[in-house]
Amino acid sequence: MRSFQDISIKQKLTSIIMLTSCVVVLLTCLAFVTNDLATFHRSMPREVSILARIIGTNSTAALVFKDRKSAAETLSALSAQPHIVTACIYDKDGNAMARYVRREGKKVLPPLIPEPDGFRFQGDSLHLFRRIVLDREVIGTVYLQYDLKEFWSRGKQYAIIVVLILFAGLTLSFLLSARLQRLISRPILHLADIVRAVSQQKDYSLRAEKFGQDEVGDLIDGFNEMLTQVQDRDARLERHRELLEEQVAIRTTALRKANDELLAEMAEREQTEKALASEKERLTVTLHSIGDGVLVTDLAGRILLLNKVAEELTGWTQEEALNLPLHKVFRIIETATGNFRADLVGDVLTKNDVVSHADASTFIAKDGTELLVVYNSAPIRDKSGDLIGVILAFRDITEKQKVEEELLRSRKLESIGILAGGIAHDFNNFLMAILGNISIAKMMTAPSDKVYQKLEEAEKATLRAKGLTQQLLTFSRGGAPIKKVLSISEIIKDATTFTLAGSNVKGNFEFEDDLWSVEVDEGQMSQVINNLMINACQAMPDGGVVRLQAKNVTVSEEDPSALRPGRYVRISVEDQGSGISEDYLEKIFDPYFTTKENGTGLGLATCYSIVKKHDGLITARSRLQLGTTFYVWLPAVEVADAQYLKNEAEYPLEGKGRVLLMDDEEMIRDVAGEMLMHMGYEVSFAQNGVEAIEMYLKSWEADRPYDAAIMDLTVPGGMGGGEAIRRLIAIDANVKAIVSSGYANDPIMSDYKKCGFAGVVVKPYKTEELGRVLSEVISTTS
Amino acid sequence: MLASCFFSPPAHALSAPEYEVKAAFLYNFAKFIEWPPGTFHDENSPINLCLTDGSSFRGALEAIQGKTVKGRKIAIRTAGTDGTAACQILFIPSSDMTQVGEILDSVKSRGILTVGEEKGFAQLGGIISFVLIGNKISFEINIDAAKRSGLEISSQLLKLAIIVRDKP
Repeated sequence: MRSFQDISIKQKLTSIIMLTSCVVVLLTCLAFVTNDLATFHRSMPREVSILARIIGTNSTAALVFKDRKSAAETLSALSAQPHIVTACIYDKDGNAMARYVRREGKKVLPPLIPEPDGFRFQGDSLHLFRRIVLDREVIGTVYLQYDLKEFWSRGKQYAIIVVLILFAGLTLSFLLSARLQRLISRPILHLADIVRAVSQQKDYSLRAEKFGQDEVGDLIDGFNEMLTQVQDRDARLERHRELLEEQVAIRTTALRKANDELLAEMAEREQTEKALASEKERLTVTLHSIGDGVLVTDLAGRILLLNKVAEELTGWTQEEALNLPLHKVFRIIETATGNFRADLVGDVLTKNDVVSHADASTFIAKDGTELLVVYNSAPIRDKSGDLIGVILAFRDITEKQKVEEELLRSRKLESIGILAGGIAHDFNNFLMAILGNISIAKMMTAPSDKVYQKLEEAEKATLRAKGLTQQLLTFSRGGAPIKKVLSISEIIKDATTFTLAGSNVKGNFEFEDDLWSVEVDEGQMSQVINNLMINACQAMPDGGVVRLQAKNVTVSEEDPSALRPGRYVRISVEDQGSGISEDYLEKIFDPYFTTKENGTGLGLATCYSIVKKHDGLITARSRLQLGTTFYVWLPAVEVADAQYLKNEAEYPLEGKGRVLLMDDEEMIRDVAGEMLMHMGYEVSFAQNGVEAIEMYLKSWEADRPYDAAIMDLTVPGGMGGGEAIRRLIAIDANVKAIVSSGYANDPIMSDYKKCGFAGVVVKPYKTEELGRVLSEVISTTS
Repeated sequence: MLASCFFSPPAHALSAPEYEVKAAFLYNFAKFIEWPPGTFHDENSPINLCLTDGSSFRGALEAIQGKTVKGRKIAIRTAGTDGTAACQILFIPSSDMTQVGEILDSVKSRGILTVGEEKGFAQLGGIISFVLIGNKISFEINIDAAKRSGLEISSQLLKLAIIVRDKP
């Protein structure tokens, strides 16, 4: 429901007027009616009393003369008073003398006996008694019964009239107020409309119309005044704005014009610059893409341009070299004469053609570095064919030269390897004879004997000779390692002692107790240590201490190293030398990388290759002027595999059984045969594979098979051990054969079991070595 | 005809109550009559009721002797030889009817209410005369005579009376 506050002012005014007039009319009516009714009510008894008095007066004579007829006549006059229901005249004795009863309506009889003077309202009637006095004497009483219906009907009539008046009044007041309220509401509504229009349209030119000089008129005046002020201000603002816009427009136009001109100019310039830049870029890119150094000079020989390669090779930047004379930047010494070439530009200009220098010349860079270069120089002409400068292109062939030298060196090495390989067989056979005989001689001598010691030294030297052969073979051909379970500490000690003999470098060993065993190729691992020691010694030309350590190390999954998780023995070789710069450190394991004057670049490469073949890892850490440390990780063998870990000396040198020895060299057959016999074996000899097979077959058929066969791998011009073993297996699947060769790098030597051999022994070997392998093979049940 | 009816029972035949009623009437007449100003000597002056012959009627009038009307006492007097000058009411019984003309001439225009016992008195110039209608006593009033005498008769009384006028 809307509250009164919210309805329109029109309705408010109408409502107020109507309500007011309604209340006034109602109150007035009520006052009138109440007054009228009250008056009526009050006056009625008096009127009735007067009537009674008149009747009384008129009936005095009748009473006095007891004239009933006359009394009745007097009463009958009451018929003119319709509200008198009944009337009666009593004589002074209280007897009814005359009665009057209204004809119409209910018949009511007056009381039989009069009552004292007075009136009472009873029922719908007013009952009144009045004494009739004549000459101060009560001569009788008049009774009147007045009907109050009139009173009530008058009340009803009034109610209807009030309602009608109210209705009429309301209608009238509505009509009037509806018209009259406009006097007040119209200016206000008009003002409200104008206010709304102003606020909606923002049109401050609108004005409210004034209807009169009252307060609303003042309000409208005030409002209009306000609007005028706003309008004025707006107009002023508008004028300002227009002025400003005009100025802005003028300036914008000027600016735009200037801008357009500038843009056009810029576009033109940009176009030119772009063309120039693209030309220049093309040239620069071209020049920079050229793999050769390029120098451009003017006719006076002053440098105009260097390309990137030229900058790198000469050590001069474009900025530094600009306008310098060519011979200052491009210093070249003729190999043939050993003199500086000074006037390169002059030569070209004189010749007026390309001058080529195909022979390597020595170029000296800014920092003094010497490079080997070849170069060409040519004149530059412009469009019209006039000479404008000289271009010089040169190429660094130092690396190429070096590679060529390296290649040469490696070829040399290769040939040494081939040579070594070629002589290894024979050489090893000789060594075998020497070693075998020393071995036998030792057996014949008491260890306390001086001769025994000498023999021992001779034996050691022979073994080193064997190692040397091995190294030569490894260099030249590589080869799979023949792994044995060993204690690395012995190898380190032996190799170090051997290397350091006679040098001013001291080895310092730190081995962990209970160092895990490793399965390595003894010769190859010696070579690794050797090379590392040689490196260390060379890093310390003035002598020093090399610290050699061996530790047990467990590599877990989390370790970021290249190693697979597991147990390793880590060897470290630490020198106190000059150290290796970081740039070089990355390359030290590359083949043919060397910083030494006479280095082959193969030492560390060989180490890397050997360690890799042992499933290990080699790394280096270095600090300049403090020293370098090499680390070698070698996988440790499981305890279960440690059955081989027995010192050769522990094996009894006595044996029993029939052994077939096949070797093409008589020297070997003799020495080895003597060794075997010395140990207690019964030996048969064969010169080649065919013979060995025949003999084995014979003994097989005779049901006296050999307990073991020792076969040489290589038999020149005959069947070697490789083929012979296949045949022997065909005869006796349980044949126990040992392969023997001086070519330790032959694949069969490292993979002998795959080929059907039960053991391997590398020539030259000692009695102990042979004895151990043989007793192992024989004792093994296949 | 009416007159013959009234007269058929002889007036002397009236019983004693008849006189009493007539006496009461006389008294009551006084209540409705206004005498002309100057009739009474002062406020206490009685209303003199004069009888020409008080032989037979006097006794009945005793009852009203001394009663007050409008503050004045009723005094019974005998109309003497000195005339009727001091009378306010003059009752003429039937016995004096023969001398009516004379009596009426003597009281003419003197403010005296003349009441005749006999019917016809009013027609003869008297003011009020008793009549008997049925067995009820009524009276006649000659309004011309009343006017002549200067008396004011209450309309109340006139209303009860049989109005007669002078014979032309």
